[in-house]
Amino acid sequence: MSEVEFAGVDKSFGETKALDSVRLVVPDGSRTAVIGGSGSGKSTLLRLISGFERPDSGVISLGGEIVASTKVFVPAHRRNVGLVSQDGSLFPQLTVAENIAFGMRASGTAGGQGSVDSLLDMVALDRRFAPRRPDELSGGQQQRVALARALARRPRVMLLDEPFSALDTSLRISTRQVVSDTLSAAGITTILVTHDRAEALAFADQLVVLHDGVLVQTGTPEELYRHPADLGTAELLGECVVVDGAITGPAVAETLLGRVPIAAASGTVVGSSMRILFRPEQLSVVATEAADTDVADTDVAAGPVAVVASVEFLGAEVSLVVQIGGGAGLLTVRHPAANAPHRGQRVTVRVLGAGVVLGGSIRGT
Amino acid sequence: MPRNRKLLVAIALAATTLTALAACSSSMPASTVPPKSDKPSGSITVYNAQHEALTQAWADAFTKKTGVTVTLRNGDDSEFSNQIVQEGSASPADVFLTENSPAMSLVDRAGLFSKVDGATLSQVPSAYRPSSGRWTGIAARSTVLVYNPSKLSTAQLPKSLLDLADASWKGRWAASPSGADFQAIVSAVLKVKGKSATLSWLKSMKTNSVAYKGNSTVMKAVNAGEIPAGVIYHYYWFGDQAGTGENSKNTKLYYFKNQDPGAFVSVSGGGVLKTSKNPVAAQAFLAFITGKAGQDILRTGTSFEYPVAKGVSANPALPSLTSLDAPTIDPANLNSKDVTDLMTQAGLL
Amino acid sequence: MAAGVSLLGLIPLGYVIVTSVMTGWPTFSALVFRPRVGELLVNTVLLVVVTVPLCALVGLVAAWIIERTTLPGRRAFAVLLVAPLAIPAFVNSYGWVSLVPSLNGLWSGVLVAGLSYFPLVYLPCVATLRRLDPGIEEAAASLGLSPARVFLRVVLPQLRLSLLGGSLIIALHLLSEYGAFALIRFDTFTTAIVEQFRSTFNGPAATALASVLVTLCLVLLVGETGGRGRSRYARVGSGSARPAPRQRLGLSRIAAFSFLGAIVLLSVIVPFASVARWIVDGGAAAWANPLLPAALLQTLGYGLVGSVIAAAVAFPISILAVRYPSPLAKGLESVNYVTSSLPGIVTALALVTVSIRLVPGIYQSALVVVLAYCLMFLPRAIVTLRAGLSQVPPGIEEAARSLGLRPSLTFARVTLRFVMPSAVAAAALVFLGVANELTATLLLAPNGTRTLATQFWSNVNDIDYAGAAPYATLLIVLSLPVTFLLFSRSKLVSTV
Repeated sequence: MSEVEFAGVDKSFGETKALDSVRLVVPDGSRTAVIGGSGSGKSTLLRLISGFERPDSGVISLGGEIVASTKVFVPAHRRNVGLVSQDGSLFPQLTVAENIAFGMRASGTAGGQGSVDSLLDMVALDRRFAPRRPDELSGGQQQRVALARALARRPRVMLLDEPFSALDTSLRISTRQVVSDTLSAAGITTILVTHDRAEALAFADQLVVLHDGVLVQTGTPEELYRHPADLGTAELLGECVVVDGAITGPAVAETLLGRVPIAAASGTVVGSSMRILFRPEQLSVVATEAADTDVADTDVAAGPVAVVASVEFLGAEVSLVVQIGGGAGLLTVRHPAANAPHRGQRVTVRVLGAGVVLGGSIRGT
Repeated sequence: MPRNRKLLVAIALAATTLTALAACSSSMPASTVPPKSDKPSGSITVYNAQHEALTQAWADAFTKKTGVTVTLRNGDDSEFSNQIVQEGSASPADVFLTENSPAMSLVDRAGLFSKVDGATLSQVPSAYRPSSGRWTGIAARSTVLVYNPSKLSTAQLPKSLLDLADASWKGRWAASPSGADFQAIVSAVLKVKGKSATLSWLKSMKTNSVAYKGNSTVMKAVNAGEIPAGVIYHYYWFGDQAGTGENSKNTKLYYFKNQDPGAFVSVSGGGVLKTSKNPVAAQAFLAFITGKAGQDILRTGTSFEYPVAKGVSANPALPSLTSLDAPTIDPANLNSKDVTDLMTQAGLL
Repeated sequence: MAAGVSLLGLIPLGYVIVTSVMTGWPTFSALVFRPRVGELLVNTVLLVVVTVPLCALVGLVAAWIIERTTLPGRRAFAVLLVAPLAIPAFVNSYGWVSLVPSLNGLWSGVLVAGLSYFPLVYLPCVATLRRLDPGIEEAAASLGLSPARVFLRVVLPQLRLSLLGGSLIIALHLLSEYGAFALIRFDTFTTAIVEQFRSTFNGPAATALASVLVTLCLVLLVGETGGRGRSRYARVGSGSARPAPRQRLGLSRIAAFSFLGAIVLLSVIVPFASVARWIVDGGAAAWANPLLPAALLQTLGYGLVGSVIAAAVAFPISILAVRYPSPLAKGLESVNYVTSSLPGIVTALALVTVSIRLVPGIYQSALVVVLAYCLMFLPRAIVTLRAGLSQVPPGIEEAARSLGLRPSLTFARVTLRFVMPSAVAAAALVFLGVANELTATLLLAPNGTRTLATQFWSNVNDIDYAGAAPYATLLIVLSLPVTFLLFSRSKLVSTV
């Protein structure tokens, strides 16, 4: 059974189309991440689910019950949808314990110190924090209180609206871990909205990509990372290396990198010229033994030979720009810093796995 | 350095303040001392508890005649009398004018008045001035009951002011107990009936009467039928009748007569302060208002107060003063302090 | 300098204490424990207890309708609801008495004062509602609270400081107002003190009443401080503030419209119509009054001098409070705060007595009047300036210093530039207070002084309502720009 379902949902603010015929199914108990740039409509999606906005058309249902359509509108406070926002939105005038207990009475859930304590335990927050005020907590602690407060009502869906974006890097990872573990343990259907690819990939079973109000692609994180529908999605989910290629066979293309295997999208015509996507980690370089080694420039097995044009030190790795065939073919490749080639060195470029033939429009992020 | 900054600010502020205050102070009117001469000149300050319009008319006429500038400070009888006593030798006032005599007695008893010029005293009959000669009457007014005939028939009118203490008058009469006018009337009651009778009358007044602020307001309320009757002075009624009658057209006046305390005629006083820096002009001002020209303003103007000087008749609209059969009371014997104490004790103040 | 002003600020309180002690216990207790004082206490307390919650309710509801609904015409209403601040309470009372001459007693007092003062709650509530993070309300809704309960449990607690602060200011106004209540024959401590003053100058009975009144003030101040509690209501977190969603009103739109319409009718249109009626009645003659331009000039003079000095004195105190917070700075501020909370009649009585007995040189001088204005209105200037100062980015001053500017020049060329709008607003607020001041001016002004307020009052006392109308008009005209300055700044500072 699906917990959240959007059927052809439209929503505009004035002239701006925030969501355009969105269809979405979030399965029961799943963890879905919605990723998109700013203005992509991802927050609107959450506000429609929580009941703070009405759709212009289409139907939204929660657990099979229609909560919003042209005829029906269930207000926010009757939806039992949990919400953790970017800054937690804790009630400043209440203590941590009072914040957590806030929704219990309204929902008829048994309150009391015991359940507050167990909720604090659940979000890995010391019970000593119970009598404190929100402004005495760090950002990560505030977010955990906000989660505990939302959990207290045992919501059927938990919405997380960029809940970690205001936190600094190390806190972000640890808080995310706590939230993720807590929600898994509770088995609550969760939707996370984020613009952080690492967060989305790490958190979700299902990933949803929004762009300009249009739902571009849905799938597991791995599927979307490996087979993005378009360059925009690809760039949203990771760094890209894009080369032009001539499709020479059902799964082969001729490119700057030589003849490479491709995972062609259906409809790819043999003989056509397409752009082919690799992730940087699919490319590697190996220093050639000597300048006079007799290696052909386009050896399929070994890959093309290139010259290192620049080296940027990044710590554990270096980022190399290599020039293939003395022409305009510049590629960016990652390489462990420990045995990094130097500038001007000749290297062989190797390709791991298959490239992806890009369809759809060409756009940047 | 923060210290520097604060210092700079402080200096700037001090300079601004001083400049501004100097500018203010220089525009402040003060009595100026004229060169020694019998001819009035310079300027005087008058503490005026009389109606502003009346004193302003006197002052304008006096200035026109003598060139002496007159600055008025307007207030109430007892406020000023107490103020003058406190100011003592530092008082900026040259002349004190009141509506009623108790305030004059207070200042007189503190020994702060100069003797009034003999020529001035001779203009006013002795009934309207104290035997001490340290102040003089300048005008007079009569106590009246203003009533609304639609609320009160002639038969229901009280015989005496003291009858208003009767329970039948509960909530049916008004006065302005905080005003010096009414307090002068109480001083007459005190003089005629004694302390304990006055206190018990005041206590029943506290229960019976409705307090308004000012005689005009009392009359206005009677006119509007809010309350059947009120104790005021006569000239408020005549003044309004001479104008639009807006606040008196539904009312009539009732004079108690029979030497009742309610027939009390109150003497307004004027005196020159010992501390006056311009006694020549101050005496001249007092002589002017009690003289023919000054008293004529009472007869012809819109004040409707009675003139007190010999040979000046009252405004023809008024009943003659002698017909009012007022109790004979030496204005010097009225005591304002006892009155306010008693009224405070009765809870009226 | 700042300390000096604050020491002067101790005069009113010191006067009440010293004279009460000097009066001697038997006399003092006889003057305090008497039925009349009981009556005044009942009147005054009832006035506060009834008016303040009513004002708070009206101000709150009006603010909510303006900020949180889609009511048509809300922009016009938003401005009209501030307009009563431009009408001095005694002018409002005069307007009402002209319309309903029989108005008197407690309920009339509640009506007139409530209509004059509710914007003091309305303004800060509007400012706060505008600043509240809607995310918090959404969180509450997502936790299962209906909109009504969200308002009660989440919005209302966050408005508590605005409500408390506004209510305190209203209560203090109620305690110190003279003219408005005198006109409708409603006796409070202040009207009774003025009457005692009229009868006895600064006699012991006046001081005894003043001591009770001062006690009431202190009770209010302490109560408000207690009510504030230790809670903080600032936003937690760093989410960007977006405007809160507005409620669509269905049929209740009519109710909301009628409510605001009725408030505006009673608080703005009635007094304006009354003044207009008397203007017509008085005709050109009333305007030909030669005292009118003199009173206008004196009012402008006192207003300008008073406001410039108060703003100037407020500078060092605000700088101390913002940049160098210390117990001393805090103490200075509290002294000013308490003094300004005392009714003008008490300050005036104190200054009359002190100047007459101790410093006869300044007795009845403009200096004492200006000093009274400073004591009464300084905190308005301080609060406004403080807000301005705390908005000066410290980095800017440091940048100027690092570019070689001396501290004094940094202050003059950088800090002052930033603070100037607040300084002007501070001065304007003091000006508004001075222009509408009645009791202290009556008691303290130099001989021959006539201000618009005192002349208005003198005419009203002679029931020359038509003669008073031009003064009322000028008072309103002077107050209007300042009131709207206040309105436009309400986003930054919520104080009056």
